[in-house]
Amino acid sequence: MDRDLVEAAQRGDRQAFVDLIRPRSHRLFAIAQRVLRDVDRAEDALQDALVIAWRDLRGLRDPNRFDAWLHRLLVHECIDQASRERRRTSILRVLPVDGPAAPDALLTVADRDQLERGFRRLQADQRAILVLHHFAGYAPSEIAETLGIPDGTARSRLHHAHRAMRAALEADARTSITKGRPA
Amino acid sequence: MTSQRDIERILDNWLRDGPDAVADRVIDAVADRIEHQSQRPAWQVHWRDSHVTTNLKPLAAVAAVIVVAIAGLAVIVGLTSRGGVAAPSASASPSASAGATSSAAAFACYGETTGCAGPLTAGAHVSANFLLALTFTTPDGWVNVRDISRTYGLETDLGVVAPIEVMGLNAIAEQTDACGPVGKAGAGSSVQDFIAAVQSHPGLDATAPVAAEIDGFTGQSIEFGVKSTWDKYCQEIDPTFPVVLMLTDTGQPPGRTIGYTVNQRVRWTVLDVRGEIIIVELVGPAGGSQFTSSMEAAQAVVDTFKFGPTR
Repeated sequence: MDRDLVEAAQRGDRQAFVDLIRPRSHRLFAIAQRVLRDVDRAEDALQDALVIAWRDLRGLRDPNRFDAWLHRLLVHECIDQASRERRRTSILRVLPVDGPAAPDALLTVADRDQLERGFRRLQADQRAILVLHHFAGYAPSEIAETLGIPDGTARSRLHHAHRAMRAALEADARTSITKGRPA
Repeated sequence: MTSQRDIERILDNWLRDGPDAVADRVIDAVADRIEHQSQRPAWQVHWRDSHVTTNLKPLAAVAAVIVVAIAGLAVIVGLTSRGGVAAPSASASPSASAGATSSAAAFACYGETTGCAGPLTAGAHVSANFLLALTFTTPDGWVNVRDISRTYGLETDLGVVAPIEVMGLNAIAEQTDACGPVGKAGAGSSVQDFIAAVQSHPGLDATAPVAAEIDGFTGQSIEFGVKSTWDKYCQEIDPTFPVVLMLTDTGQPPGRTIGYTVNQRVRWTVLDVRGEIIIVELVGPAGGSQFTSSMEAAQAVVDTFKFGPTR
């Protein structure tokens, strides 16, 4: 039972902690990769979040909230990573054409390229909230619990993130049109 | 124009696309890193800016090689790491803390990416990045967990011992709902102003301040905890405990948010060091006798502090 593993890890049992995180790691990595749009940085964020989780695990009062707490650490670490990324020269990586088949046949390579650019224009916390909702399948109330914010705040942030994504896509479309126009 | 429903459908589909499996080496690396990482007792887990740096990982392999080399050398010359070290000597030249020890890279530095020295050997040390050149002496078992311009942090997990944070560039914080690093408008910045901010805070239960002196620099010391009646939370950071926000910094914009919760008791020593207000903070568990004992070993280290010139 995971509660037992959490309690054992809180008593300093490192193996219990590794047993606890290993089955969760794929899901956590997938979330981090989608927020950060970069495999290497997602691996870094995941590693760092897990080390912080180990270090601060004794501060978790309710072992049943381990998953929500771990997701919160991961999201904060992703936001932190992204803010460092912003300070660097950004190199846009286009999604690989020969990656997994697009689940929606309507999404062409060009569409996905545009989505990638639009998504990267968002603030990291907006990206995180969209990933939690559209990829992890969290309802706004679950996002609120994960991020430790009021329910209404989660709804409002999700709404703003959608709006920002729409604006980013429209801005990108305008840029493309301008670039395509003869001088 | 893309509609709201279109955006939701597109994101549902697009975000499904991408890698879903993490390489085993990532979790293996976490397992390696936590071998060098102790757990903080519950009362030490605060929510201040405590992120692990990521730029240390390339050094981890180097550190591991050094650890092996040192272990091999210890076997060859018949020393053990604890029994063979010299007692701390005030006359010994301080080692620069940055990169001073073998397992530094494996330790999780807190805060920004300028790093920390990690585990310290017994003896004298000097900060590498803190705004004043801070020299001090520790016995074996202490760890430098943060060394940035505004903060120098020391901890040990040898018993219940208060962690030490030496803070410069201090400003009294405004308690806002967002709990961001916001300075309090009109707040003063003298030793007396910081002490008065503690004494007059409605959420704090403080002792009377006493005169204090470290390295010839004078100021005041005060102990305080959060009242059980305090009900302001920082929901985004810690929804479980009410928080008293006390300190930020003078940076533009400020980056520090220091707050306290009910399970902690705190000793501040506020000094005027050549015009710079320095706060030496020790945080212990809220229980009376546990707090007193947690202060002893930490205060012994603080008493060795020497404040050098501004960097």
